[in-house]
Amino acid sequence: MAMLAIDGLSKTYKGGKKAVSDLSLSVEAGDIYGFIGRNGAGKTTTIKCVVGIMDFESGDILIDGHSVKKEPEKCKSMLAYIPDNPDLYEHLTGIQYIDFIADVFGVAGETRTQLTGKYSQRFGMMGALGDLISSYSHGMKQKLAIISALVHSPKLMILDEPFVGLDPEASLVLKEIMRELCAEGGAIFFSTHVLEVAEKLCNKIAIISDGRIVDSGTTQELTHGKPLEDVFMEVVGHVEED
Amino acid sequence: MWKRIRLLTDVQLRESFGWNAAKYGRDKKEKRHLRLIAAASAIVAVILVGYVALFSFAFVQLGAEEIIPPYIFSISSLVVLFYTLFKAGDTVFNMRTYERLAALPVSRDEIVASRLLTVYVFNVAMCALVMAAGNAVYAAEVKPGFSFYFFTVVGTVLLPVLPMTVATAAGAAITAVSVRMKHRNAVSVVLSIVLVVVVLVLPTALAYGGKDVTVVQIGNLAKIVMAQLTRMYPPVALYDSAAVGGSWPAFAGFAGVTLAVFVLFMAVMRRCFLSVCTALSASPAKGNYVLHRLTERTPLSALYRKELRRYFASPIYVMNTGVGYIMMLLFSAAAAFAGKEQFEAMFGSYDLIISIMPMLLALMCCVSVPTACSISMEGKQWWIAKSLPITAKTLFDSKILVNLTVAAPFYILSEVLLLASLGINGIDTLWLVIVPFIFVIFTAVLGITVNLRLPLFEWDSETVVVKQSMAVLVFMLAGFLCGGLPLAALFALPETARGLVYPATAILFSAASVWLYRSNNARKLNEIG
Repeated sequence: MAMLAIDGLSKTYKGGKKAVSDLSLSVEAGDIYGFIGRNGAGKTTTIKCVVGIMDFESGDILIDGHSVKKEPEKCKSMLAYIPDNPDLYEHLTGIQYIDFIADVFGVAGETRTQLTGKYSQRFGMMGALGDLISSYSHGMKQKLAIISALVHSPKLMILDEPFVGLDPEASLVLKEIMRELCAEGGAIFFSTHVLEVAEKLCNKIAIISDGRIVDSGTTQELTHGKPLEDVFMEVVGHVEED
Repeated sequence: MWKRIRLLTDVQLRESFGWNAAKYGRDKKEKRHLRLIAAASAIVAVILVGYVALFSFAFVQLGAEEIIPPYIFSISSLVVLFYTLFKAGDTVFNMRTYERLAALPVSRDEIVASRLLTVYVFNVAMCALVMAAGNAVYAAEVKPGFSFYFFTVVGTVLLPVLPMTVATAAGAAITAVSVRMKHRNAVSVVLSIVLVVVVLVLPTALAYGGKDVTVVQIGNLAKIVMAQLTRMYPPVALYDSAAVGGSWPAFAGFAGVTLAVFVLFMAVMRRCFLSVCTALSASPAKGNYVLHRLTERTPLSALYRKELRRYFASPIYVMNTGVGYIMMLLFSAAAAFAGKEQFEAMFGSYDLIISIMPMLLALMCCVSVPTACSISMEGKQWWIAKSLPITAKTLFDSKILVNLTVAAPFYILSEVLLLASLGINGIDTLWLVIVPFIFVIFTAVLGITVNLRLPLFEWDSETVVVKQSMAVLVFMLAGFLCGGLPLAALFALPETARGLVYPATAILFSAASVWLYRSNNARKLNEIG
């Protein structure tokens, strides 16, 4: 069973703008699935529909076999979402935020203590956890969002532009963690503009343009040994000409 | 310099009132939202004008029309004082917007001046409305000469300057005192409440000094009120001598004092503006956290704790949404200390006051509640609540619980004070306990209902949500309607039918609370905002 199955997703905004049109894709356990496209192509809208933030008019989204429309809480309990701009509760300290997320996801005290320690050390955030989030830089907020997402051991991680704002060391740690999570049977679905990262990290990639998937498959199938950048320009350029 | 100040003020006013979004925005929903805000603001303005005019007519009826100009002047000054006190931190000393502007070729003085001007423009418009309403009644009754009109117009222009200056300085002082403390927001809230109570209560206490008010004093109303106003706000004596007495030297004194204080304040502001901005925006970072064993709680408990921290992290949120409960306590304390005789002297009938007391307390719960803007206060963090595995019910319950936590001490203290001092018995005790209790719950649920339908997540300043958002305005109107109808029924119905008002109110508003609560909880979080 797919960890994430999007089937015929369509989303039109109230003003009449069609953001996503009949989009289908499937992310299996163990996949690191890259989702690439231009600004305004429909990546963030798709992600917001997947994580249950945004309603959609047609199609369905299944998380480990459960429908986001019919069982939203069940689906959300299995996934972790990290947005492109980590606007967190600024009046809480880092540790209060992690504790809050762990409480909502029902993580046992011992487990959350152990995982908080483990991931905070890896991201070099331990000392700052007692400080208010309002004192954090963009990158620190991004790291905190990632740590709090990992504390509840999600089966599926959805990330929107996760590498923006992270320092090189943290980017490396995040890539390692993504690989570890997939090796343990989890799955990752993330959007990015950094094609080199997608090419090196992902085993599957989908290219989206004007709300439609224009090409998808394993990284090997998609690129045939060519740089992803060339493939992307070729595919997106074709769509524009059509 | 003036051109740049005007430009900066123009930009701030456009941002504050959403003019550009209304004119150029493409989002029809937002445009409709802004039109509704404009309509609701107009309704509030009409109510305000009507209230001031009615009050002025009451003074005329009591033969105390000469008190109207200084009374209206004092009320306007008080409104400006409190409005600026709670807005100063967010508008005048906002570091984030200062940093944005500091990179441009504009001086610090120009930025400061434009911010004060932004607050001034709003204040002067509000004052003009109040002053026009009251003074029109006075002018129609007394038919004063040219000097009255001159002093009123120029006085209205000068009026906001002094209270604005005092409030901004007080806001900065409160920041200076609280900034080094661990719980600086809580200290700031407490100091602000103390200031409000001192300004409102001290002059009354000084005026009466524990003495009983007699019917003779009521007959001499104008003198009593004037003495009290002068104690509360000394410049009003100068304005009174000018507007009512036609004294040009008194007006020159008033204008001179106003401008001198303002010039002095600007000189101080030039020196300490940046320090206050920095202190307000600073989040001290220690970086020495040591991890201990974390303990688990239920999702509702976690959301409640988060919501409670959010509430007390924002003095402006606390002060604006807690004002109704503060009023309830102050009113109860005043009633308790005044006693039966003074009640009879002031209102004519003790029984009348006792009979409407439950509804008066209920009405104060309708002024403002934390839930009315609690969803909007999520702002850019709304995605977190929407992406969590929680139901709308759990989220709304946490917000209602915080509202009840805030209301509980005020409600309990008010009840204890009134029950212990007024000697109420039997069924009156029951209604005095039950009716305000039902309204505390009803208004907390109504706040969620209103904010659910009129959420506002795109904002830079908390002031926009807490003071100017559609949800807050609609709640206030709906609240006054809900609280006012039973009160009106008490006066309008024949004496034999009055006994039915409280049972009917209790049943009706309990049922409404349950119905609204259920309908709120049926909403899906991803459909909101």
